[in-house]
Amino acid sequence: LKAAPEIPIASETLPGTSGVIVKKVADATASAIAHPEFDRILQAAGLEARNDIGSDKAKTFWTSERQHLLPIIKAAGLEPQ
Amino acid sequence: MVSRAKPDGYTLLFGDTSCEVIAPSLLKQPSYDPTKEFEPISLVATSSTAIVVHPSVPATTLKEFAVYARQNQDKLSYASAGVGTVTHLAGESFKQLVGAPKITHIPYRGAGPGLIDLIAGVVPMMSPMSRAKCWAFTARARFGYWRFARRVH
Repeated sequence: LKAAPEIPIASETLPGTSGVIVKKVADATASAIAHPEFDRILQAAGLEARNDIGSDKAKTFWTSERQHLLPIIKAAGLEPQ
Repeated sequence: MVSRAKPDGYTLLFGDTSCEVIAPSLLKQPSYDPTKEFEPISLVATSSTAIVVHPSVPATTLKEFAVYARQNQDKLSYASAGVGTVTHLAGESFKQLVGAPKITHIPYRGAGPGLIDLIAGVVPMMSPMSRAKCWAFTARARFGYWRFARRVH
């Protein structure tokens, strides 16, 4: 805020990384993923680049992973140690 | 360390399923909560696991192997890279999907020792990561570890 630069914005004061920073890194990540050389390196390592990039999709993915894997962990009898 | 770093965008974690899902669920007092202490930025890449069987196993397709596994689950075992690894969960997922809960899990200290025993025929089955699939034997089926239910046919 130009009128009150000494007052920190909420995202800089509250815990967690600000949305601006997340977007900036996410955009840089998207640029890297779109690069053919990056894709070639991934494939050489047996990996596949994701095309569903971005913060929201990452959150959705991890939620889905937990819903999928936690029952398997439980069924396997793995107890927290 | 990452969870305690200043949230300024200069400290990043290149995480995976193990650190985001498996490890926190296997510790009574995990040092971090991935759902609260990390801000997801982007997905980058996917790796796959492969169900690999020794040539002595009488199955040429995954479908045949699923039937064989169900019928012979009492004497079948599989190797993994260790307890709680993605390869372990892949094996457990396979057991659930094909209805063969009695298949015995044999955890190794990493994928290497397990692969050696697989090649030697000590264990008939393993679920290594994708790069291992091309070594000395045939991967009978390859699929994303988060999509077993839809892709195992």
